Amino acid sequence: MPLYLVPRTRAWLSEEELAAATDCLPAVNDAMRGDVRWIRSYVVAEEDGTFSGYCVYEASGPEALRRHGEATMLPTDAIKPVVATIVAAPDPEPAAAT
Amino acid sequence: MARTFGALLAERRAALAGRDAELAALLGVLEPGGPLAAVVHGVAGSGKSALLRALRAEAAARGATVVAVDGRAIEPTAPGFLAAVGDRVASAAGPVVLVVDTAERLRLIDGWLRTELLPSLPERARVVLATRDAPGAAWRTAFGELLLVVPLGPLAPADACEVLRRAGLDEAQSAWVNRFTRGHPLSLQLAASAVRARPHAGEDAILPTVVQELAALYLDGLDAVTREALDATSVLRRVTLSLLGAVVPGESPQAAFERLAALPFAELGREGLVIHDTVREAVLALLRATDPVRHRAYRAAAWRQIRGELAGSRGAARWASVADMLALVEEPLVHEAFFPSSIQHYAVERARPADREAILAIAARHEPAAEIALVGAWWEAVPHAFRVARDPRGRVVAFTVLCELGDVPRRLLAEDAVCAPWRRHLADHPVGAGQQVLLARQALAHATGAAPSPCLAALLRDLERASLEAGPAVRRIYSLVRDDAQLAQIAPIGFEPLPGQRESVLLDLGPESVAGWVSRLAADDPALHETRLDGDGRELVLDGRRIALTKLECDVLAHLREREGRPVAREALLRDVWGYEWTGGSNVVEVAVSGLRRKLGDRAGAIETVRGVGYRLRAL
Repeated sequence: MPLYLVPRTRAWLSEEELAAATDCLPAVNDAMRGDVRWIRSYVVAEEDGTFSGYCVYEASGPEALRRHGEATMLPTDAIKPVVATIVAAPDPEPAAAT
Repeated sequence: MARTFGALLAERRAALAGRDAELAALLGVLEPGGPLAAVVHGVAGSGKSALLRALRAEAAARGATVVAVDGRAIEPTAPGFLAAVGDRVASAAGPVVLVVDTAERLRLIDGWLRTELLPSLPERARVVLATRDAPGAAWRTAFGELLLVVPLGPLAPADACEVLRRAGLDEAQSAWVNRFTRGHPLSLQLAASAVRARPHAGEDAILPTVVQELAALYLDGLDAVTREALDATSVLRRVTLSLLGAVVPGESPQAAFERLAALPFAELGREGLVIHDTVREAVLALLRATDPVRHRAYRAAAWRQIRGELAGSRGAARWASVADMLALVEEPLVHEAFFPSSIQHYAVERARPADREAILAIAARHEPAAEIALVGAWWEAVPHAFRVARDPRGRVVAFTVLCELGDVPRRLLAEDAVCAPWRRHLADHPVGAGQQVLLARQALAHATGAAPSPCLAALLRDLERASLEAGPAVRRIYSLVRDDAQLAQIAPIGFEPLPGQRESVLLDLGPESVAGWVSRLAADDPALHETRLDGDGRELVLDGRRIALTKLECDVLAHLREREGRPVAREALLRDVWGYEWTGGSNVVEVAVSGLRRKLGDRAGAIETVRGVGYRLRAL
């Protein structure tokens, strides 16, 4: 399946929302198996205390990603196909949420 | 006037080292314009209870009424909490502080506490909770600036040394103890006791887990009798004289109780003696690993005693025994359902009228049109049956429908095809008069439908809580499963498919409802809870005991068992067991029943006399 990058501005209003989303990730991946696979998200803290995400997915297409956004109640700013990946070094250990 | 021993005890118990700032902050709830509620949180052994004791003493000294309850001693249901508090908050004349210790044991009613109880308290009431986890977003959203959150970290080095000095350690001992306990209050307490007992034990005895090592260090110094009593009671939630007598039959329960009460990690509560969780778990793990035979024997003895206490208990005492039995259940699904171990991201509560659209929208995402219409019909007929899980933002992310059969209009039951197999089964296997049947009609999550997910798990835990809250009358729960995998998940707690059905499942709690069901789950050895009547061998196997019966006793018991829960006329017994019609003055039935009761021992109450009729057998 092709790779996509989905920016999600102020997707989570609090650390609890972020933790709840992380908790649900396996169940959501399981439910949408074959259409969407959530690979990882890079989460950044906004100045107003909320959190935005830059989320990487494998998906059968943009429509499946839109359905995924509705299912997880997350805003979808854009759905951008990844055309190339440049890996200078593997990801370090995941950063803490805060 | 001379002070009483009780006053001295209260003063000593309230003495607190190194929590001045936290205590002052908590006392802010009594100040005009102060916070309305406060949550003290910290890991096990961080000194939450000691801080609450100091708060209670200080609040009382300032003229406030203090109502203190402990989550460990309360049935985690709304009625259970209300029964524990009584009208003490409502009837207090001036300022009143409701202090709830070990609130993590009340996670099942977290939503109710926040949305129903607290808003209903009088204006002059303030609430202080102590719990292991920081309050979730739902609490902070509900109270905003009016909620004070007090995290309890380790004690500062100077304060830790003060604790050790009070415990009798000299400066050098205090310095090295504090170096590895790092200000953890329970560790300090244990270490102080260990050092006093073995002043020459070295630092090299320390293992990676400080508390466990300290506990082990301390336990090594205990005399054999106390150590055995501690081992035996590690399988128990609380220690009472009767439970002690069962698990340590060789000595006086009173003497064993006093020895345990003197330990630095034991606390006397309303329900009995409570050994600190951290120590109890360490002792239990050690016992299970090193002496599984003794561990099993303690569990079996505890099971039999609690089983007997359950049979004769009512009200709060019944809950205490159910909770004792729950503590013996090793099936994680059950334990987690009643005492969730982790913080919950989803608040579960009764659906509000405004939730209708969100519920129907969830149904619309996953169900065909006919099913959506049925969800609407259930909402119209029994809106109180809907419960929702909200995410930290308050949005409805999942819902369940659970209600008592008698609340559902007959028209809806007939219209809903899902209910047809349940109704047929019930017609073929009716429940006794007064027994309740619950229908768990639906559970759906916004993102994942009926598939397992954290928010549905929160709702299903709530379903088990609701079953418990429904009281001792619940006999049966009908529900649905999506597939074999889902059935496999709930089969360990007793759910089974209805004959010939793929989706309909049933949990029959048995004639003793939740108490009997939990007892069966807690008995990991089938022989432990087996009740078997061997007519040929004239023998009853009860809780692992073999009881010899006469032929008449055996026949009478068999006759009553076939009609368990129903009154059996004396005349019918004479006719069917003795084989002759009523003859007037004979007392042969009474003689046989009296013999049976004597042999049943502590379970004699299972054969009830029904005045003017005959006898009724309750579950053995």
